[in-house]
Amino acid sequence: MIATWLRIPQIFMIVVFLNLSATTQTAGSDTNQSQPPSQPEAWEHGGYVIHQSVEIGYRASDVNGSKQMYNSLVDEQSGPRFLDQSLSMQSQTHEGQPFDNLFINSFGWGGDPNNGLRARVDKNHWYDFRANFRRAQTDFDYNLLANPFNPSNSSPTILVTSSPHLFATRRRMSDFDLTLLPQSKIDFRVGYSHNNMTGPSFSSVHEGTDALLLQTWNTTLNSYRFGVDVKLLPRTVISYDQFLDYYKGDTTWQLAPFAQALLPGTSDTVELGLPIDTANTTPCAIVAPATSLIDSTGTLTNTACNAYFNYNRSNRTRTSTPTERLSLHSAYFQRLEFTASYAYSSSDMNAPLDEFFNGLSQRSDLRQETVTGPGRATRISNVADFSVTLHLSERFRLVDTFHFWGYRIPQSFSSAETDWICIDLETCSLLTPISETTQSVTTSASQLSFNQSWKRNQVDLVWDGSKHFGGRIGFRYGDKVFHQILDFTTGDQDRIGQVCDSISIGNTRTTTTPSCASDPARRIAIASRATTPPSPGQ
Amino acid sequence: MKTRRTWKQLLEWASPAVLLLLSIQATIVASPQEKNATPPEKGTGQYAGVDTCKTCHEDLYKKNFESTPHFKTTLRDGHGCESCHGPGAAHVEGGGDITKIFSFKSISRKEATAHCLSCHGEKHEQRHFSSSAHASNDVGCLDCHSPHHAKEPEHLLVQAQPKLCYGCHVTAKADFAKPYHHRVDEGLIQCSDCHNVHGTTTVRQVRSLPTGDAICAKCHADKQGPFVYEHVPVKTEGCSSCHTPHGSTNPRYLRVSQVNLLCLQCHSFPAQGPAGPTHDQSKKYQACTMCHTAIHGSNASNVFFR
Repeated sequence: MIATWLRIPQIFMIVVFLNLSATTQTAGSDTNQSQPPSQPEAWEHGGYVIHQSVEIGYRASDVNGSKQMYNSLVDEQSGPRFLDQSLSMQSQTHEGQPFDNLFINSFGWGGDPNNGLRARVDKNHWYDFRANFRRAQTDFDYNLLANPFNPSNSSPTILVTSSPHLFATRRRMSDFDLTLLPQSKIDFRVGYSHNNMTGPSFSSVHEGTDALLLQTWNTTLNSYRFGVDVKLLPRTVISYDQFLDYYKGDTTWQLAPFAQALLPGTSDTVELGLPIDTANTTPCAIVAPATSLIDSTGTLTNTACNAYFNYNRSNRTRTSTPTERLSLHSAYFQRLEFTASYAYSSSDMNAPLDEFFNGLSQRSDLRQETVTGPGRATRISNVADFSVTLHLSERFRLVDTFHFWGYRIPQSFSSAETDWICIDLETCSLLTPISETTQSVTTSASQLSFNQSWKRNQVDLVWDGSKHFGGRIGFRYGDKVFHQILDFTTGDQDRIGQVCDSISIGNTRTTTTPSCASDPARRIAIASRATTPPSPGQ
Repeated sequence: MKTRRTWKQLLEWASPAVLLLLSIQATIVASPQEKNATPPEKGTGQYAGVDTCKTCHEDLYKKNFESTPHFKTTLRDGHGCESCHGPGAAHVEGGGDITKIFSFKSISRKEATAHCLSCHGEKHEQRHFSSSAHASNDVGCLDCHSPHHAKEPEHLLVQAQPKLCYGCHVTAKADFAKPYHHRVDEGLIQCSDCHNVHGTTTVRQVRSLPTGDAICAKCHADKQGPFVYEHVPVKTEGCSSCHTPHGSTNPRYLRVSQVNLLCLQCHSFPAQGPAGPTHDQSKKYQACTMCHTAIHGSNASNVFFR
C-alpha cells in the first residue's frame, strides 16, 4: 500500500496560448501572402524597424497526489499568464535618436514561479546599456530533510507531516550596466546590481529540545561598480574597476507553534518542540499516573519538561566589501596574447546577536536565557590571475593560465550570556517563576582566524592539426594552503583536541603545526597542502 | 620528503617561468601587429565599398547584415563587409571570383577566431578566449555565433541558450532535467550567467566575483560571508563539494540523498578529525541540519546552531 504523500503526482496541465501579433506592415509596402517572409514583418515608425510580440494565455493545472511535492518541484499554478513578450527596435539608418537598437524580452508574468526581463539599449559609439530583472519563487515543502522520527509508541504521537525546514522565499535580482563611449580609446562603465530575498521559512533551534522557528528572510545585496578601459596601444587595454558591495541581513527568528499544550493551572501554553518521543524521554518522560504527556484537555502532565514559552533571535548583519581591480590585456605582438588582473578586497562584517529564550532546559535547569554580543569578521583578499597564449607556429601554441586567491579572515565574537537558573533544582519546572531563579552572567570573547591561499597553474601545448583534428597535452598544478586558528574560551563546545589531531579534511592532506602541539587546549593551527585540483566552485 | 617538496616547488614555478622566457623571446622576434589587423591576407588590395557589395549581395545585405550589430562597421568611414572579408576590389574585378575574397568557410577555426578577436578580443568577456577550454578544444567563434544567419539577434548566436550549449554538453542537459535543478530550462538563468564561455582562469570556466568568490555568491549572497565561524569546507572545497549545481535528484541539490550521510563523509571519526555526532541518528536526529542550521557559516555559534 502506498501512502498518499508518496504517490506520484498526476499532473494535468492545459496551456492555452493566445498570440497577439503587433507586427504590421508599413502602409503601401508589398505584402505577399503566398510566400511567408523569412522573418516577422515589421512596423516602421519614427525611423525604427519595430518587431513586437506578446503571448498571453491561461495555465490550468490539476494536481493529484502530493501537492507539497508538486509545489517543490514544479509550482506552476492555474491562472491567466502573460507568458512571453519581446520588443525590438532598430534604427533604419543606425543613427537613431536616442538609440540605435533596443531589445526587451520578458516572460512569466502573472503568477509563474519564474519571471524575467532582459533589456538592451545601445547607440553606436555613445553608449551600451543592459539591464535584467529576475524573480525566482521557491516553495520547498518536501519533507525529506530534517524531519525527526516521531514514533507511534509515543504518547501523544504527533507526526511531522511537512518539512520543518519548509521555505517559501522570493528572490528578486536586478542588474544594470552602462558602458559609455564603448568604441573609444577610453570608455567608462558603471553598474548596479540588487539582490533581495524575502519570505518565510521554518528553521529549528536546539535548547533542551528542538523547537520549530519561523524564519523571516530579508537579505539584500546592493552592488555598485564603475570602471574605465584605456586603450594604450593597438589591441592593448588597461582597465581599472572599483566594486562596492553592501550586504544587509535582516532575517529574524521566532518560535512557531508545532506541539502546544496548556500549562496546568494557568492559561499559558507551552511549545514542546518537534521531536515527540516520550518512550525516549523526548521532550520528557510521562509521569504516572498520567498515560500521556498531554491529557485529553490538552494540558501538559509533566511540567518538568523541556519546552518553550518564547524564543526569538535577531542577528542583524551588515557587510561592506570594497574591491578594486586592475587588469591588462594585450595582443599587441603577433604571437603573444597576454591577459592579467589583480584585485584587492577588504570586506568588513558586523553582526550583533540578540537572542532570548524562555522555557525550560531540563538538563541545565535553565528557565530563561539571553545571549547578546557583537560578532565581527574582516576578510582581506587578493586575487591575481594571468593567461598567456604563445603562438609557436601556425599549428602549435602554448597556453599558460595562472590563478591565485589568497585571503585572511580575522574573526571575533564577544558574547554576554545571562542565564536564569532554578534555585531549587528538585522542583525546577515550567511553573517555576523567574523570581525563584538565580541569575548568572557569563561573558566570553572568541578570537579566530581563517586564512587560505590557493594557487593554480595550467600549461597546455595545443596542436591545431586541421579543421577536424587537433590535440593538446597539458599539466595542471594546484596548491592550496589554509590555516584555521581557534582561540576559544574554556568550556566551549568545540572539541579542540580532536580538531587538533585532525588528519584529513575532505580530500586534502592535513598536518598540524607546532603551535597546535605546544598549546592544544587554546590554539589550533591546521595547515593543509593539497595537490588535488580544486573544485569548480572555487 | 624535502626533495619531493623541492620538485613540487620547481614544477610550480618552472612552467610559468619557461613560458615567460618563451614569451620574451617571442616578443623580441615578433613584430607588433599592424594597427588595423582586420584586413585578411586574401583579397589584399583596394576596397570596393559597401555599395558595390550590395549590387550582388543585396539580399544578404538587407536581411542578414543591415539589421545586425556588425552594420556599425559601415559607419564613420568603416569598410562594412570588407572589414571582415577583406578588400574586395579584386573579387569584383574577377567577376565574383571567390578565391579573391576572404571567405570564413575555407579557413580553420583558429584563423576565423583570430579575425573575430581582432575586434572583440579587447572586451572583458572575451579576453581569455585564446586560453579558454573552448579554444583548446577547437571550438571557435563561428561554432556558436553566426554573423549573417543568427537565430538569436542580440549576440548573433546560432541558437539560443541553453539549447546551443546542450548541443555539446549533453550531460549538463541531463542534469538540468533532474527534479531539483537551477532554472536554466525555464529561462530564468542562462549558462553564461555562471560560466564565461569565452574563458576564465578558473576551472570549467566558472565565473568568479571580483573578490575571488565563486559566482554562486552573486545570488546566494547570504552564504558569502565572511562569517565569525566559517565552516571550513565551504571555503576550502567550495559549494560543489556538497551540492551539484546543475541539478540533482536530491533536495537542495545535495550530492547524497540524506544530509547526515553528507556530513558523515568528514565527521566520521569522533577521535580523529572533525568531531562526529554523539546522537543516535536512527532514533531522533536523522538530519544534522536539524540543530546545525547555520551550516554555511555562523556569526554566533561555533557549532553552527544559530
